[in-house]
Amino acid sequence: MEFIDYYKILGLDKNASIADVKKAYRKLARKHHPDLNPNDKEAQAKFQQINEANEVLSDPEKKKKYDKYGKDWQHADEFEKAGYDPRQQQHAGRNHQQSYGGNFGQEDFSDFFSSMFGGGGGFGGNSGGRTRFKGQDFNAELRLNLTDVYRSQKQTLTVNGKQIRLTIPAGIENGQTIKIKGHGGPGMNEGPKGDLYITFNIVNNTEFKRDGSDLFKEVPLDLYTALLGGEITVETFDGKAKLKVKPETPNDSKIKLKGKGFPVYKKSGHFGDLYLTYKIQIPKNLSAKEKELFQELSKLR
Amino acid sequence: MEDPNLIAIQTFCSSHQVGTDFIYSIYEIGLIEIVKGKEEDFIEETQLSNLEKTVRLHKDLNINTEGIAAVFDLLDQVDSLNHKIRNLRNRLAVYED
Repeated sequence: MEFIDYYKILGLDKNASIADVKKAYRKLARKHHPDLNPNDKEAQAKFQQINEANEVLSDPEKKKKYDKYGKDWQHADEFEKAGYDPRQQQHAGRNHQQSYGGNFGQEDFSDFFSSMFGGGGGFGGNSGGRTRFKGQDFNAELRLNLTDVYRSQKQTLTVNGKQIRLTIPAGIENGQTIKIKGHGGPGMNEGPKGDLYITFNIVNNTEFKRDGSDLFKEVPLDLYTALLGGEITVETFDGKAKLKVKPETPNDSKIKLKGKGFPVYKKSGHFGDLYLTYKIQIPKNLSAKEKELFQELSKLR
Repeated sequence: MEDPNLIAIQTFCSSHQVGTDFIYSIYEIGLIEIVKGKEEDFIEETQLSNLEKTVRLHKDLNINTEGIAAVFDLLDQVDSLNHKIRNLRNRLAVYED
């Protein structure tokens, strides 16, 4: 447990008055309010710190106690009776509760606060005491490979110690968030449970590029096949396709393989298209004979 | 009325220590829907998230109902911009190595 510098949190110096505290608090609360920063995972934690700092520094009695003992808060009670050694400070690591990279912000006060002022409960304050009816919403992040989301799949996640079975629909987008109803925190006063929001982080572990349900790939094409035409085999996302190449196919020609793209999200059986770009390969290390023949060809032009 | 998806406004208000007049002013401004009952009024469970957000904004930041409505509009805009950015980023990845 570490000492928390509430003045620093509010950007104030030690001589700040309660009026200064209130002003600084309002400003910072507005800036970091979690409802105004829905995609900022830090906001929740920051907002809690600000609230806690305000809870202490805007209350004359708490402020007095905090100012009096400051960093020696651990010995506050002993201090009342006897002298103290100002060097005696203990620092320990902080606990971060995390799962799947999610940030399940807790609403209660820090250990520091609790040890100095008692349990976090029982504050009827209009800012600190946050009432709730519906349970808290949880946010989690799930990292999957692109190959994992080609087909819908069932997965079991452990979120805050509870197992949740869910089906991840094929074709989910990178960065997309889905809501799982009722898997957030418990409600209060018989209120409903909160929801769980899972944001998907899709890592492209393939040579295909993806734009929604369309896939793109470059295909090397042999110079002679490009000139004379022929047949090639290309890898599609889930198999192979045989393609006829027309004679005199220019470099960077694009062809579309209909329905060979990525599944369309929540449209079972629908697929996007696969776009191939031919990249003609110029032969290297020509032999004397080859050079001679190419020279002959060039004269024919 | 025993619909589990309906929550009595009175229940909500006592849980949140907020006056019913506040809920009706939020309703007047069009941020939530209210289901009129014979003896009391209800809100649907689907409205809870938004309603609780309004209560938090009101209590934590002293924002009035008009201000909250503006905040909601702006949050919608932020959300749709984020959605666009996400799609553009994903599309941009097609052209990046």
